[in-house]
Amino acid sequence: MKTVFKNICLLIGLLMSINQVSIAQADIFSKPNSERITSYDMSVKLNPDKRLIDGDMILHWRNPSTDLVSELQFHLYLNAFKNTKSTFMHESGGSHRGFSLDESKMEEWGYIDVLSMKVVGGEVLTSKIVFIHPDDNNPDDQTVISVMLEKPVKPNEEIQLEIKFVSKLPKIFARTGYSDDFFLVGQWFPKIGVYEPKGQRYAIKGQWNCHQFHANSEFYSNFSVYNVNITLPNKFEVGSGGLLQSVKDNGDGTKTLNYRAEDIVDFAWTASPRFQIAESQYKHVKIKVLLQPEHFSQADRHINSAIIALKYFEEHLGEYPYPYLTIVDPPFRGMGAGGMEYTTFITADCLWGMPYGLRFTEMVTIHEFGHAYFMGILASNEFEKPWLDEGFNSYFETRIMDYAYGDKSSLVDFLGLKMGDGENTRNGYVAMRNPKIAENFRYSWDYKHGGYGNLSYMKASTWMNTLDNLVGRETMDEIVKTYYNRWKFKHPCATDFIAIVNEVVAKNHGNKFGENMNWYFDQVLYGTNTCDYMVASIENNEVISDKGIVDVNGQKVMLKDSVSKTKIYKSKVVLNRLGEICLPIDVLIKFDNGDEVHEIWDGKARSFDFSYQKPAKIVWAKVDPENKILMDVNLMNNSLTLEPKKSTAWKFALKFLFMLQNLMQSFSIFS
Amino acid sequence: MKVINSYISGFKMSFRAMKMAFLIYCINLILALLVVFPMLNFLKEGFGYSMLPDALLKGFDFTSLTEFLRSFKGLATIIAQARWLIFFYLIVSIFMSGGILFIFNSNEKFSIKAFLNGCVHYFFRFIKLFLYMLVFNLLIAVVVYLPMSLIVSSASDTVASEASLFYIVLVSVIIHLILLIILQMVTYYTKICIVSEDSRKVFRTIFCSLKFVFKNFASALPLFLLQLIVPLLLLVILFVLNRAIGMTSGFTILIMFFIQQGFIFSRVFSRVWMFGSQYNLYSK
Repeated sequence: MKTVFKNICLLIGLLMSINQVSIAQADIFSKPNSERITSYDMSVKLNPDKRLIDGDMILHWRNPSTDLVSELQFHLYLNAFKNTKSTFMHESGGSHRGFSLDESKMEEWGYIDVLSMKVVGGEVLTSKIVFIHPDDNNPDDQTVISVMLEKPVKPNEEIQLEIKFVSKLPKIFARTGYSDDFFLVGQWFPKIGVYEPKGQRYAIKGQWNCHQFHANSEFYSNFSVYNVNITLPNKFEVGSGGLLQSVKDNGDGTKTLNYRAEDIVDFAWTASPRFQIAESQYKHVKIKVLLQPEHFSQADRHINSAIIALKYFEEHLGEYPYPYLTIVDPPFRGMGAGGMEYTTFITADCLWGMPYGLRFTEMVTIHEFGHAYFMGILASNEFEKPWLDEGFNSYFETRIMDYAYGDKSSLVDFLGLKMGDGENTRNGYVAMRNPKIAENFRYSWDYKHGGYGNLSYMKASTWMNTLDNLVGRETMDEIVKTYYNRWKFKHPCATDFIAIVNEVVAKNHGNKFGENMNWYFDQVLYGTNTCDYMVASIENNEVISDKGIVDVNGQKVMLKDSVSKTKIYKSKVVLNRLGEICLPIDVLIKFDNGDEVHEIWDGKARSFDFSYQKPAKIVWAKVDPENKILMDVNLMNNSLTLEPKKSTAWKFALKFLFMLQNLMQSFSIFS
Repeated sequence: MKVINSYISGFKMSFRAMKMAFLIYCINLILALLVVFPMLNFLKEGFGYSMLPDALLKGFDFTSLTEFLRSFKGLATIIAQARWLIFFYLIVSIFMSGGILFIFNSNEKFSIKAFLNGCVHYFFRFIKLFLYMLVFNLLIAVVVYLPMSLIVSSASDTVASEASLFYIVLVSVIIHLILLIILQMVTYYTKICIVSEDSRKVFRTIFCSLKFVFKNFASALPLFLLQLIVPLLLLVILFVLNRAIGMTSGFTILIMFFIQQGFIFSRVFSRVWMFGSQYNLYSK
């Protein structure tokens, strides 16, 4: 009887342990890539009708500092969608990228409740949970909690917490939630903040970095290991940021999928019964695309662009280390979930019937994949330094798009209209009504009067492309490779990148750009000024020989007219610096005898001229003839010619004439 | 056969009145030039002595175009002028359609005097007709697009795929196009009826022509559609020539200018031809 009882206990214990997710999982990497501060063992169950997720998790957290840590902080991001009082809703006005939820419907709101929290084998913490608001003191914001521990966690000690939670998913409008039977489950579990030891990034002492959820912000997390069991009805196809280990049919119309992920900073997953799956393999990487049936014919667009990005990053930064990549194509009514990244799991954007000449699907796929590197592997703090992920990533996105599809047609090549991704990105910055509205070096939610998107994505990409042009592609590649190799699976900050720029530029170019490149970052990263160089004027004056009387050996002598066959001209090109940013700049001057003179101007003076005395006149002059300085906000004034081509004006006038005549004739059908 | 006969007879009538088509074309060109010449000056001033616009001569260049548009302050003025011009030309077209039909109806040889007489004689009746038709056009638009927008707005909360929304819009556009063609035919035949019967009761004539259109639908519709074939063919040819020649130098710009003007003339002629063939059908 005793033995039977013992066996039953053992069996129950075994079953419970299975339920508690300790299913044996195979390691993905033979040795850890990162410090793996945290590890999550989760068992979650999706109730698709109520859009609820019930979760049990064991959190393992290791104190990475030399401090005694007696407080833990967690993100509860889904509470951003709990009511209009949250900081996210205040800042966003209830809409995100043009999508919003119906505030009158209870089922469209979302939240997360921590039902219980306790130290494994120790104190119960549930009653000690308090909401904190480190960013804005909004007492109604519930996206960050703090828990005080009776017994502090010692340096390098691991604490294990058992947490039960329930997450109610919101209607998708800001990249997480549900739309009918499509679920994009992101920012959905209690995620511990980052404890930054003294010296990590800007920390002058050990401290928690755990920001509230803001409208203009993304995330910052520890490198972690995730063991996740997801239980949901059999009809659902599932994709996640982990590698599928096993699928178990529970015999009650549900199944449990077991995923493992290593060295990633966040875990998201998706489920829908409508998904059709396309798969491909690139070297060690298995690419899985979960598509809406109406978009299935465009699976190749996702796969091909992902492979292009994989190859490019492999060549220019480093090999994508993970053996899998999941791409999710949200449905039309869940497009608020599009364009999001979780290292190994990205969401793209696609529309039925979208012509291949409009490469928005490719652009989004390449961009989101790029985040695997910029914030995924180089895990910068997206809250505080959005340019480090979005700017860097947009820079690489433009490089890849322009390389793969042509720099003048990479984004649009449709019905004669062409637009390069790099061109479009630059235009997003230079066409801003006020490009000086804020500097790049600020917190993502601190763009009080707009400009977050244009500045952290487009301006940063533009000045990185300008830096690339200034130092040369070879040097730039060495910079980003060094940055990657030195900081992969760590948390770099701005100064870490700048230090590498200074180091590599000095190695490759000596003092050509000065003692270091800080002057560049002072202007483009920390400053708000703009760049604008101009060719102000061209002058050509014939040199006329001297006339009159001169004294020669005490004699008055009349000067003779020098009879020269060739005329000599004193010529001058006047350049102006209209903007505040100073950059070294190339100048190209063309003479009417065909000569071209290449000059370099340090670009510092407000006005500067190059003068010549030659038997030829200047015909035209260009500053930055190779368009290296993409930061220049006005390219129209970068050149000046004394022989302008009239035909361009005529071409457009006649095109306009033809269009107008056609319109007149078309409207006359109503006469 | 009736359709082909009317089509050919309409062409012959229009061909005989080629000068009329040329006059209308000249009016179209001169009016358009009133806006285009200031535009040319704006462009010359805007391009100035910069070399950036040179890229636009070779073809479409996004950066050069956006840089130019940012520095080009005259665009809003030009667009406003163009809008008024299009409206003015609409009135002028109403005016001229009286002249066209008067020439066809009187079987006179074209003269500017006779043409202008016709223009003046029917102008107010045609204006009245235009206003009625404007109301009908608005009604049709409301009848088609109001339900469509209601369906789309409710469907966008229920349909799984954007393709369904596309088809709803496509069906609405096709319905609108069919109704628009019928309305166009009614407008043409009302004008013909007003001229050939010198009718002053415009509203009543609309119903007469509506009756005519539906009674002769098997001829009226094919004739109307047949009239669209030539302009469409010419449009394809223009597209091909534009691709082959381009506008990349002074010489090719000049060549394309003549081709484009030839196309505009063909559109004007097609309209006169439309009147001619429908007049023929109506007379039979």
